[in-house]
Amino acid sequence: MILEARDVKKSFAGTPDSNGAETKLEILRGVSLAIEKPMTVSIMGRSGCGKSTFISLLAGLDKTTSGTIEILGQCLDALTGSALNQFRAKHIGIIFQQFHLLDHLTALENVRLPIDLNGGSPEGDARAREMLARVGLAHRANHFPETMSRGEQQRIAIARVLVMKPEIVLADEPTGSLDFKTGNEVVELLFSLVRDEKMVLVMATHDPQLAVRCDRQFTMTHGVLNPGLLK
Amino acid sequence: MILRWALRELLKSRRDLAGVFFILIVGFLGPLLSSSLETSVDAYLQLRSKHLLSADLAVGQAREFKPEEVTDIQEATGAFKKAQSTEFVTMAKGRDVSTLIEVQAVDENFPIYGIFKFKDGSEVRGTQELSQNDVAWVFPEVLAQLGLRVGDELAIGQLKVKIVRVLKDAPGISRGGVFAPRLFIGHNRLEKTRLTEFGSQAQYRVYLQLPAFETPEGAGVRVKEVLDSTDVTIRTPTDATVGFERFFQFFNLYLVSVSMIVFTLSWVSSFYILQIYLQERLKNSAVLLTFGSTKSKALAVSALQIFAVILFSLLTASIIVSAVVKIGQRELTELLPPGFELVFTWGDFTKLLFISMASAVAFLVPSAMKMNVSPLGDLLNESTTGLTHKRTLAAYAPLALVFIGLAITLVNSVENALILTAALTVTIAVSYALARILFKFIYALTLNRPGLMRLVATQLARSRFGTNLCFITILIGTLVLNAVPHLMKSAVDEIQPLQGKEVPALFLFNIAESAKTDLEAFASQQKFELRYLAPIVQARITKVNDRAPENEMFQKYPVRLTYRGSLIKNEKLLKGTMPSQPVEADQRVAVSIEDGFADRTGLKLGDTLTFDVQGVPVDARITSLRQVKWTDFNPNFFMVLQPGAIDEAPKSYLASVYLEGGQDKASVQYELVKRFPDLSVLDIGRTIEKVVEIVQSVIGPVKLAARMAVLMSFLILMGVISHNLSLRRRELDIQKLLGADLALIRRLIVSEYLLLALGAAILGSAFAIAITALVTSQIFQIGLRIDVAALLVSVAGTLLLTSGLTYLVATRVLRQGSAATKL
Repeated sequence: MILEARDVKKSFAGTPDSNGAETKLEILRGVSLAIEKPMTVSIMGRSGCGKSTFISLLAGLDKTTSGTIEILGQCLDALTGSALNQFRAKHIGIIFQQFHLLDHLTALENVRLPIDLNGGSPEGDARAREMLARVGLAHRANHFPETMSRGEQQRIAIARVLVMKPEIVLADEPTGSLDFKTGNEVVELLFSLVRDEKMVLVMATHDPQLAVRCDRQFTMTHGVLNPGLLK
Repeated sequence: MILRWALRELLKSRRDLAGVFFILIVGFLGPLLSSSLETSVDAYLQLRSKHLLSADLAVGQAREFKPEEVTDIQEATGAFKKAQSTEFVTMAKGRDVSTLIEVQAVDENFPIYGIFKFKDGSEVRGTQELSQNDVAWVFPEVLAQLGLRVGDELAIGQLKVKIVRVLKDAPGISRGGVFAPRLFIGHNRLEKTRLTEFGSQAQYRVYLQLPAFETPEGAGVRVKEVLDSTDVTIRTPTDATVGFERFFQFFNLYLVSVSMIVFTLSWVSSFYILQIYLQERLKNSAVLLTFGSTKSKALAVSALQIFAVILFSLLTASIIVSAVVKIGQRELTELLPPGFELVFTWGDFTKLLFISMASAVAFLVPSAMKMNVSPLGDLLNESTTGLTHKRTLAAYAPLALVFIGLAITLVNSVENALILTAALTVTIAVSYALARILFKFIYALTLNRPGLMRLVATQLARSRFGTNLCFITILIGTLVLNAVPHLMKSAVDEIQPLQGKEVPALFLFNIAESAKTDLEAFASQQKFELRYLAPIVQARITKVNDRAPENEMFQKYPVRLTYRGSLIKNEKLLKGTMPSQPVEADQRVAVSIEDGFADRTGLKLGDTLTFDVQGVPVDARITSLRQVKWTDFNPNFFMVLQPGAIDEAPKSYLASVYLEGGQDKASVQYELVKRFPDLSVLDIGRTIEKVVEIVQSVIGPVKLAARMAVLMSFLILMGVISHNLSLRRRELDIQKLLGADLALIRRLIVSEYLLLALGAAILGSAFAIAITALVTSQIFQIGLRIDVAALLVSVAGTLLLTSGLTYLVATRVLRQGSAATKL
């Protein structure tokens, strides 16, 4: 099993009610998901339905209130601190809506950053260049993010994730900051790379046209995950 | 409403502005503490000078003061305490030798300032013992040259005195021009000696303690008017420290520079952080504008906040300094020289208040200009239109003016303030440029080396102004810390070299011409070395450039001339030529002048002088200027004539005596005086000790100022690092998301700042050595000696402090939760 989430619940402490009693905000109410082989998975839902929260739990960026998440047989709850960071660095890649590139690094340096952070390697440069070429930006290797379009920046971010060859790629609204045409191009690229590298892609989106292109589709409604598209 | 809005926003942003408060408080501490030290050092130096003179003013003449003259002097100056002394030179008989000694007969009020220190370690403030008994306090040379011991009797004229104490140091000045070992007796014993009757050549002095509002110089003028005599000499404490002005001026300038440096660092750092804050505030200002506010009202909100921040910081710093001054006086006693007091004045506070309010206005100008030129839509989207070059100049010009105003306020001299400002600006600009070059160089070295070092090097090479500011802060801190040890080592080593033979043990004066050959033979026999044997011819300057001399010194005192055709070891020719051949009959005699003497008397190359040499006029022209290394402590002359002009004039000789290791100075003195009773022998070792003691006495406060400056620089550094890392929180979070754990990220940050600190510390030390080399060669005219221990300690200390600071700050920043972890 590559990824398995079992009855995951997540709640946050809310603001006290008018009687001063403590309230609880339940975001996820028992979500389960199992992925056995490389495939693309979409999770659709309206804003505030809990899909981003679920993605962050799958990435190990937050802890579940109850339930378990296992990645490649490793229970995430059993890992903490640097062990969790290292596990995530090796096996999980995250693509953000806002790209989160480092402004003072060139495109090549941004792509190479995960390799450098994990001790560097003699082939690191070559791998980064190769990945940059695969996203079609080899000619922009020495340019800074501020000189690039949003589509190009997102492609850099994708290259940065894939350079480490993680088994799982998590993407939260990867086209949320892009126009329709650019978004399509980026998603095409993402899908092609993920399929070539035989990775699992779990993508949160509110766009049904994007969701339908995945191998499996789910809908998150009020913290519950159901198979199929949002109607 | 504006005030309320401003304060609410300020309170909400207090966390963001905490760094600014901290840096500004430290920045104000710098000048407040340094001003306090400067005021204290000034007062201390004046006190030391007074101790050297033993009074605020000394009035002297060659005849006894009448009682009504003394009264007149006191009334004219408002002096409320006086002492009197009489000094003369006489032959004294010892065991079986006689020699010249200088007798100083002092009354019970002597000294007004200062104390007598004795060889046995004791100290005495008053001279009652001398007034009540037929006793004498003598300097060691008296014992050495006369072959006497404590308890022996010594005949001074008709008076027999018992030697009861041996002096190590005594306040007051001795007669100029006579170099004989000195002793003290009571003034009321003078008559018994019968040596001051009928035509004796004594110098009579009245010492005065002036009221606080009276200056010695002003009092001196009034004394001359009252006494109406050309024979009167006036000595002030400044005269007593002639020769040390350069050291004292340098240390004063150093203290002021330190104060300026700390304020500059804090000011630049605060400006940097405040500009970021004000930039962010522009959006809020834009919101106000969209709801109908005017630009001036929107700007007033920022202005009120800046004023509040600066005023609060200044008040806090002032409270801290006044507390430190109170507590510090008690706790820092061991670090400070005896008699030194820390002083805090509200005048300093007022000066800084004025400067800080002006700074607040200057800080606002760039932000105000951006608000003025940027469209409202851009401001709402948190972006601003860039300023044109002209507008940029106009935006930052007030800052430069305020800074120069601050310098003038601290230095009290427009010229020095401009020099200091220029020096600081150049240092900062050069440091910034060097930082960029160094970081790019390191980046180039690591380009093909994958791993953490490359990440660190990349970060440094692409760094923001904030990181470069850290570099500048560390560089300047290291510079400040290093400057004093190297200068001190150069000064003290110059005066006290390690090899004994390089410094003469004794000076010999009044060597008769007839005794010269005998003396040389005697020296050879006793196995000591005579060097710089030079003739002395007494003369008076009767004309300068064919006119009567205006200089008082030339009018009143004879000059001592020598003649030779070449330079000696401790001299350097600066300008002109020094003829080696004897002067021809029809030629004007060439004279070489020492450059410091030329400066003081206004003489220059080409001037003509007419000397009266024992009744014979000699016309001379200044053909060269010489630089003399007085710190060799070898005899030299302000004026050296060409050979052939005064060779036949009546003369005596002087020379320095160098002893072999193991030779007893006291017995050499005794043998010399025994063999040549007319000889004057001066122990030069004691003079060197005194010079070193005076110079070292001001080092305590200067070192304290240096350490304070460095401490404050590091506090500022901590504030800037903290702010820089806060700005990089997003970047640090992304690194976490990409798999870096806290320990790794912290290691990256510490490595980055450690590398930065290493470069800055090395360059700062190099700058310090360069500046010291300049100061030692140009101002003090001594060689450079590097204090290697201080250098290594300062670099190591800098690295340790920086890495420790960065570790602590990074840990704090990384532990804070961040928004970027939310997707």
